[in-house]
Parts: sequence; structure tokens; C-alpha cells
Amino acid sequence: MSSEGDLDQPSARFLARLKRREEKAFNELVLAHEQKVYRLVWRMLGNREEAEDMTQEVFVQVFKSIDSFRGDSKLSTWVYRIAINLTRNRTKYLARRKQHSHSDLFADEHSAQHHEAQGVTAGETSRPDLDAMGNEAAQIVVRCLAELDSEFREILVLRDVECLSYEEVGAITGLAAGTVKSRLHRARSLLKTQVELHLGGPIA
Amino acid sequence: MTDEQLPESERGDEPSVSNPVAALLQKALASPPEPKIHFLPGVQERIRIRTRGRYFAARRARYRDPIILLLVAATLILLIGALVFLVLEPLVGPTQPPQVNHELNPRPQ
Repeated sequence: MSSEGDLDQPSARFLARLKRREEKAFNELVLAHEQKVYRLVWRMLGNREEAEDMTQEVFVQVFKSIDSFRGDSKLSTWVYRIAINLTRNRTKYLARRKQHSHSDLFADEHSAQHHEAQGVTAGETSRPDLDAMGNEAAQIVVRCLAELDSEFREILVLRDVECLSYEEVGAITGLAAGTVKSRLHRARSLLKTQVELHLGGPIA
Repeated sequence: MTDEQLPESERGDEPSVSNPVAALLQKALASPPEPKIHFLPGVQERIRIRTRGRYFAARRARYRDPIILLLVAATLILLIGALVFLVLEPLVGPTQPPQVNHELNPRPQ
């Protein structure tokens, strides 16, 4: 029986090394999770430089507060929770600083990315006019996502983009699975309404 | 709102792609830009500064770019090879060209 919650032996040993502040163990942790954390943070903030900075901050926070991790959830879930909390704070900070409004950040960062999203509403096509429509739709989706309250944005990103289970989303956000489901439903509905308003038609 | 009140696509752990909004989001946020930095050295540096050198102060503990390590290893191997050659080369002495017996192997006319 492990002393750290429900962790198996290798995980408990690894956690013990982390709690002893073994630098090698911490390096392993960073290398194992950095890309996932970066992706999540970028999806929440919509800006590469902010996401790079925030990703590093997440691991600094993990290093600082590893003693408070009891092993009740997966270590990755706990790291994600720290990422979400820090991102939430950063979003509030950025919202206060008007010169870097969220939607502007998203718009800048996505101009190159949206080629991936071509055909979202127009379907796969090589017609430039329809490609432009798909690209525009993706930009609208991202802009509308940025305008949502962070509690809705978090749920949408974790569930619909990161494809985590309701239980994992609940563990990260601190919500019950039922609340996650109802909030997800509300978030999708809000986003759909906003996107359709901007597109001037239904998205499905 | 309870689970029973939710539409079918919201219940259980079915794939989110069945929902049009989820599909839109996945497409729009599919591929983040490649980060332009290595995270580990930055994290180590921040921890080193904030712990006033208590952690990640030793050079051996810090992250090094694997390409630099590879280049250093390759250079070292080359240097060792050159050194071994320089040491062993005088011991072997000048190599004699093989003697060819023309009587046994007459040249074709």
C-alpha cells in the first residue's frame, strides 16, 4: 500500500523524489509534461509568448507546491489544475491591461494557424472563396471563445479540445461531474449562439 | 440542470466531435504554434533565482541542448582518435611496399 493516496509504487517513488526536490526527477517531470501544458495554456491564452512564459511558471509553481500534492489524483491532473489556475489569474490580469485584450491576442496568433481550420463550415474545398469562409469561421470561433467567461472557456477547452473525461475535467476545475456536464452544455450553447450571430447563419 | 435534462450528446463520455461546436473548436485550436524556446532551462533558471541558488545552481544539474552535447561528444571522439593515431603511428614504423616477384608473375607481353 502506497503512502501517497492511490498511486502505484513507481508513481509513489517518483513523487517521493519530487518531494525531496531531486533535480533530476523534476527535470523528468518537466520534459514529460511541458508540451501538454503548453498546448493547454496556449488554448486558454491564445498567445505563443504568453503561453511559453506561463508554461514555465506552471512548473515553477509545481516545484514550489509539490508538498501539497497528496496523490488523490493523477500527477498530470494536478499539474493541469495548476496550469488552469495560473491561466485564470493571467487572463484576469491581461483583461485589466487593455492594450493586450484577449481577442486581439487570439486574432494575431491565429492568423497563421487558421489554415488548419479551413473548411470548418464550408467543407473540404480548394475554392478560395470558400476557404476564406472556413478561415473566417475559425477566427470567429476563437474570438467568441476568448470572449466567454473563463469558467466556460476552461470547460470547453478541457472537454472539447483536450478531450478529457468529465471526471478529469472535474478534478482539474474542482467541480462535480454533473456540474461539468451542465456547464459544458451552457458553454457550448453560448459559443454556438455567438458564432452563429457573427456568421449570420447556423453552424451545423 | 441534471444529467437527465441534458441532450443526448451531452451525457456520458461520448466523443465530443459529435457536437458541432466541439468539432469547430477542435479544428480552430488544433495545432498550437511551435514554442520557440526550450522550457526546461527557463524553468531551472527561475527556480534557481527564486530559491537563491539552493536548487539548480550546479552546472551539472542544468539542462543542456542535446545537439551541443552531441557535437561535443563527436569532437572528443575525433580528438581521441587523432591522439591514438599520433601515439601509435611511430611504433608501427614505415610500411614496406609488398615485394613482387616478377619471375613468378611475369608481365604479359
